[in-house]
Amino acid sequence: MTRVFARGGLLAAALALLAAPLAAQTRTITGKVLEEGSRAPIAAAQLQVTGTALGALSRDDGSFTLVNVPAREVVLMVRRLGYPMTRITVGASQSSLEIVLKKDVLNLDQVVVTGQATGISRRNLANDVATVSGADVNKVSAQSIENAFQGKIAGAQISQSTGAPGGGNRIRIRGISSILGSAQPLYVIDGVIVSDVSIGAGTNKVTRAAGSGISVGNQENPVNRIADLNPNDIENVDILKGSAAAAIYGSKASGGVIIITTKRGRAGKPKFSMRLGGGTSELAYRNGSRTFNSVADAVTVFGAGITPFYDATRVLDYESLAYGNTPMNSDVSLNVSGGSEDTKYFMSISRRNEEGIVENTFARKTSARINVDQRISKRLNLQVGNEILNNANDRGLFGNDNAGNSIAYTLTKIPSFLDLRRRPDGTWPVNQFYPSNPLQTIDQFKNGENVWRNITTSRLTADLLASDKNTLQFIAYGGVDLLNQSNLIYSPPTLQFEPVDGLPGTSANSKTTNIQRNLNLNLVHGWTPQSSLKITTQLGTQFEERDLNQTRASAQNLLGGLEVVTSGTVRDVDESRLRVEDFGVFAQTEMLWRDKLLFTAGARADRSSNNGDVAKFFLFPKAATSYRFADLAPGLVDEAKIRLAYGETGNQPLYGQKFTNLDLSSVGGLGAFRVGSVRASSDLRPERQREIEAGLDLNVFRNRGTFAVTGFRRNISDLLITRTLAPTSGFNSETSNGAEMQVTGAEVSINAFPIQTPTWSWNARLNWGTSRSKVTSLPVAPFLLGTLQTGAVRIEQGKSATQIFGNDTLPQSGGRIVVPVLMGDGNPLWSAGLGNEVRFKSVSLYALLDQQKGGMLANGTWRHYDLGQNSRDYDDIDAASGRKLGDVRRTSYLQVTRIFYQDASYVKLREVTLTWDIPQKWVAKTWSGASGAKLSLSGRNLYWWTKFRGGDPEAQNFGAGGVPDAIQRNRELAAYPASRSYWLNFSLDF
Amino acid sequence: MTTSRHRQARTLLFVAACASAVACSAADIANFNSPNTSQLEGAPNAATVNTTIGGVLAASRAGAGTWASTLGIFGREIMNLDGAEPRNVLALLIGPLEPGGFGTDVGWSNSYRNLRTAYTILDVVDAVPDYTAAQKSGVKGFVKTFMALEYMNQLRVRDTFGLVFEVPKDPTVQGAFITRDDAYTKTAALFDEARTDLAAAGTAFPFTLTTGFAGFNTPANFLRVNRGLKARLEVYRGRWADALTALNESFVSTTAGTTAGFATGVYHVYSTASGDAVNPLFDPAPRAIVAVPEFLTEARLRTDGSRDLRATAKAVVGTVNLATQGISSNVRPIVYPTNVTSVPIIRNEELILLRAEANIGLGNRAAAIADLNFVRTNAGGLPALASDFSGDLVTELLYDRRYSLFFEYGHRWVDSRRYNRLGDLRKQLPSHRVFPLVPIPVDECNQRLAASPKGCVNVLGG
Repeated sequence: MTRVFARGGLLAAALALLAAPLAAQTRTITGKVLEEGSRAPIAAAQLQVTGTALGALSRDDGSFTLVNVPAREVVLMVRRLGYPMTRITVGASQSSLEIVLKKDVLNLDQVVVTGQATGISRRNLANDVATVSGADVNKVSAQSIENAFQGKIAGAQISQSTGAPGGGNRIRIRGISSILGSAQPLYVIDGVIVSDVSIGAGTNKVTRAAGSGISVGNQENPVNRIADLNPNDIENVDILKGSAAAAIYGSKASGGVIIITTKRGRAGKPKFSMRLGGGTSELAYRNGSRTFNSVADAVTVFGAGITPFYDATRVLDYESLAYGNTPMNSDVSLNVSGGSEDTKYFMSISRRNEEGIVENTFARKTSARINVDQRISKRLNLQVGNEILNNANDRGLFGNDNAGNSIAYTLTKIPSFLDLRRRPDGTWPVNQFYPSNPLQTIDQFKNGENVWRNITTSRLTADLLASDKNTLQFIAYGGVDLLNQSNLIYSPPTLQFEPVDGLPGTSANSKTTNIQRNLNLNLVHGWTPQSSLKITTQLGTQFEERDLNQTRASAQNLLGGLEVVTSGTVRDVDESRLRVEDFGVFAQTEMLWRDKLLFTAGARADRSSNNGDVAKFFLFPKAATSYRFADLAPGLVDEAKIRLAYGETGNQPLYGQKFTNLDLSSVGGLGAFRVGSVRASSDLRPERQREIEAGLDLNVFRNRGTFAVTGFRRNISDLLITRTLAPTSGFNSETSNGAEMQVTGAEVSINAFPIQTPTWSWNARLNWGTSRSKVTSLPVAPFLLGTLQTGAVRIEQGKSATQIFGNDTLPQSGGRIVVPVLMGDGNPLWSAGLGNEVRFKSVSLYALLDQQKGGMLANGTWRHYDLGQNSRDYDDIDAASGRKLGDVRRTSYLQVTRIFYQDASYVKLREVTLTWDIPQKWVAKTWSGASGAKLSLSGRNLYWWTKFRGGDPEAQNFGAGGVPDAIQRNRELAAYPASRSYWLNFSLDF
Repeated sequence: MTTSRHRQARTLLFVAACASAVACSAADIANFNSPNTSQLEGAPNAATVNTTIGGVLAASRAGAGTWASTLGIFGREIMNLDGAEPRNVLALLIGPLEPGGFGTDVGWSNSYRNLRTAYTILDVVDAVPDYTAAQKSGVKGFVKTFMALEYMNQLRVRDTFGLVFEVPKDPTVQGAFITRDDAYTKTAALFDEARTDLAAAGTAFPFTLTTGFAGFNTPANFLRVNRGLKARLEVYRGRWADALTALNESFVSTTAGTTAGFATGVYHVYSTASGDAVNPLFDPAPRAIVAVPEFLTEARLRTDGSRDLRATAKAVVGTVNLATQGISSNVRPIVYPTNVTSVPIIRNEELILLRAEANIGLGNRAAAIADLNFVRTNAGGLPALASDFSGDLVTELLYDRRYSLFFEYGHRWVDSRRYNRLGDLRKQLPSHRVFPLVPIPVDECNQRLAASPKGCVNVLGG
């Protein structure tokens, strides 16, 4: 290969090509683009002379100018999001025209990404690719864009790991895709891969949730950093759900690919858009707690020492005391777009300030973006984008803990008669019955996180060739995602729990830098041998490197109570580094015949420094076809499309996984090496998914509705399994490729506009998805992830990869026996979203229901209320045994796991918005410069219906984006409680 | 024309890709955060092996907390009343103990992981170029002693369930389970092999030891530690004469009946330095660890009416009364007054009591009484037993072992089992159980479904 290509002389020739003049005989075409009916000007419509690279965008008044058009009959292709693609023949002598477009409410002509640098119109698409528009993302202010996706994508389960301000979510698209790896999707913004890393805060030094290290990420409720992005900048989002669509992203795409396109400038006078939002939130669910009816009950639980504290008349609601903050939230953004034909810009600034329902917790996000499109020459176009953002938060002290100080955890142990409120003199009562006073912890504990991030994206397009039949483009994407996170944990010596270890005061200071660099070079060749056939071929390479460096320092026994780590007498330092280099080459060809038959074939070859053999390329092929039947039964089925797609993707081994470590430690000042507990396999390779997807798309009732149904089956082989080794081998586990799994599923999307009149309109969107997994081959003995007593995923051949086992106690002759039993499945049976938007004149009401059926969640918070003998129904009598219900649960849950392992089905009223489009005449009367204004009232997570007892059936607080995915999803424990949020927004365009 | 332009463009593409300096060569990136085992293969240098011996000590120390705390709970020395982890009561005091349940690992993984590290050292030590023959012998003797200690530690926990002795070089090959008595035999032989190696180890070890080995950091002195540990094993299996033989070569001494005299021995040390560990049994508040209340009330009276000095020196009535799951205690152990207090591996007070026990077993009552009296009068301030004491010496011995070795190594539970006196352990509530031994952990059981070890069962306790 190298010999063929590496001829330096050709480089000069290729560059010279860029400067070559076009054909001499040209003319200029001017005109206007208007909407059918209203005759409103359509701005930003893309016009292109087919068979050439000539193009223009319509201006704000709908006008456009095309220069250098060949002086012969040409076909003009007009595209605009929201309108069907239109082809217009322009006669050889015609120099002006009016183009009228009909509104495409169903988005059939939207161009969907299918390659690294190519796309195809939705009308012909061979895969089920979900698209969420920027407007849909921003219906109700969300903490993170993933929250804004909830309920809007068929087959995607998105769950919020904690209710803390700042976000933290987990996405699983089309069911489970890995047992031990991550199922998080790959995020691509404007062609550049960006990071979704989750970095722990360092609270483990205080909570000791897992060992005594400074940070154990998955127990510290970290934010997965895609939450940094500003949703207001998003034009639209394409979600490549499975391998069939995502194969071109190769070995990083098994969790799906989320492709975000940001807004870009439009030529014309500066157009401003301002959005002002204010809101608040409140605790969504109360656990309640036990009312101790007698001092004897209290003594039974807390010992004789409780007697002087008992007061039958005092019933404090600790959840209100701890979670009763009424926050003042704001979400403000301003953007401007404009420019000339050659230079266009889009700029935005935004600030979102969210306080938590727990005092002193907050998330403040500030961002500024500038996108510039510059035409350098007739053949050279440059687009650059830069977003700088600052994200600061304090998420309090929540989640698992082994030191008695996590706020939600401690709340479960406080009897309602015990008064731990701050005294009038400002001092805090000591909780004599548990190591901490949560109200004091809320007041004094600091968990500060501050992220600075800069995402730069660039795209250079060079039209190397533009003849009637051939076009050749060189498209280069390059980008850098630089992320700096600092975490400062300060637990002052005055906190009740601090002297527990004899070392009052803890401080932990962590700095993390993550740099991700991308370079993606593409050649796109378009060949139109005849007007009914178009073949697009793409060749490309992609290089990516990731560097993640974390340094942490902590100190205990803080002299003088200073925050600085040097003030501590007991110090600990920790550093970890990661570097990955990936390289891939890909090729793809797409053939579209008569706008009816589409055929695509392609392949990507990837290598990675994370693989055992770093030089080896792994090949991920794909192929897809679709056929569109137009005018099938006009008025009933206007259009139908059948599609079939196949593709392969991978999931890389993790950094360092290929080595058997010598663990480092020290013992009394001596260095120590221990053979690591995980034995590596030196030939680690990426997990491989092979997915076949078939579907049917219908366009019905005079384009009033679309109906899409998709079935898929993916076979995942070379699954990375950390197989458990017999501990007597001296290793706990061995990481190797081996198992195989099959996931089968189906998705349905319906988008309907039953009513479309100037007075009334109604849009209903329904999506539904289901998936089932089966472990088809397991070269090792079945194994558990987790422990039976508290519920474990059992990986077993022939069974679901998310089946959950627990203990149960069964009667047997002469007594009872504790046996492992299947309790259910962690993966929901199905999930669905139903969005309805009804407009009457200028008022519209939108509501989104999000439903999950099935799935299981371990209810750790409730368990701890019971273990603290403090749950609200503790004193109720169990009919079977005559004992107190709480006593029964508390003493038997280790042998009857399902007591605290519950069905997590729910229906959530996810988003509601009432919008008033303020009539233009009123707006203009107030300020002539204004072109539109809206007022809206909205809410998120307003209500849910569930049998799950406890806070939030989607809370899974063992880490956002955590691995192993199979198990970490199904546990809730003392999470920051979920809240409802309400917003009032005003937006103004001028 | 088209083809040629294609080629030009592809050239451009490739040149640009190579210019990013990566596409042309595959990067082999090390794990920056940890060395890997390839350093311990072939002919490693002495420094690597010496550091790995530090790892053997670190791993042995990692188990120490478990012996004192988990076995201490089983043997009703202490209780863990951590409100945040009620399974310390629900699983360890009520049970049943399940292979997959809370707290049944009891150092199993850690012990075998340490054995893996130790066997890796034995595999390569002869190839280390910068060791002399004597130094190689010293490494082997030291490492083998700690290996035998790991086997003994697990035998204490699993008792008649037995254990796995072989740790094959290929970790996918499973060593066989052998009975307790076979394991005793092999462990005793390993102690003896270590003794032979230590005897040929010259005057100094090639590696440095922690301050916990002060006085025992030469091959000759460490051999006396090896013999003390061997004596413990021989007493466990009732081979009294062999125990006495071993004790005679150990550092047992009744020359000084002082705190320092009793404390002579080898220790796990802790420090607050970064990367090191602090004493896991240190709980000053206390937040979780309390002594059983009867530890103070069952201590015998001295002639002045006060309690056994060993009881009052090791536990006090504190201001905090911990309560959870229906039980409580305000008695706080003060055995480890700081977070860097050392934990004994073996010390003279235990050796004296081992000698007394061996003599009881051999019927040498006078010798036994002399040793018991040396301990109880000097350490406990109690009146001496009459030289013609005719009562049950085992009861006397177990009393002294309970108070002399409180919260150090889980002795009381093991001792109660050895003498079939588990029934004497006081349950805090009628629903509580005393477990005679601990099941084999589930991870082990699951890997041996074809021939399930007999320890893969729930232990209901009595």
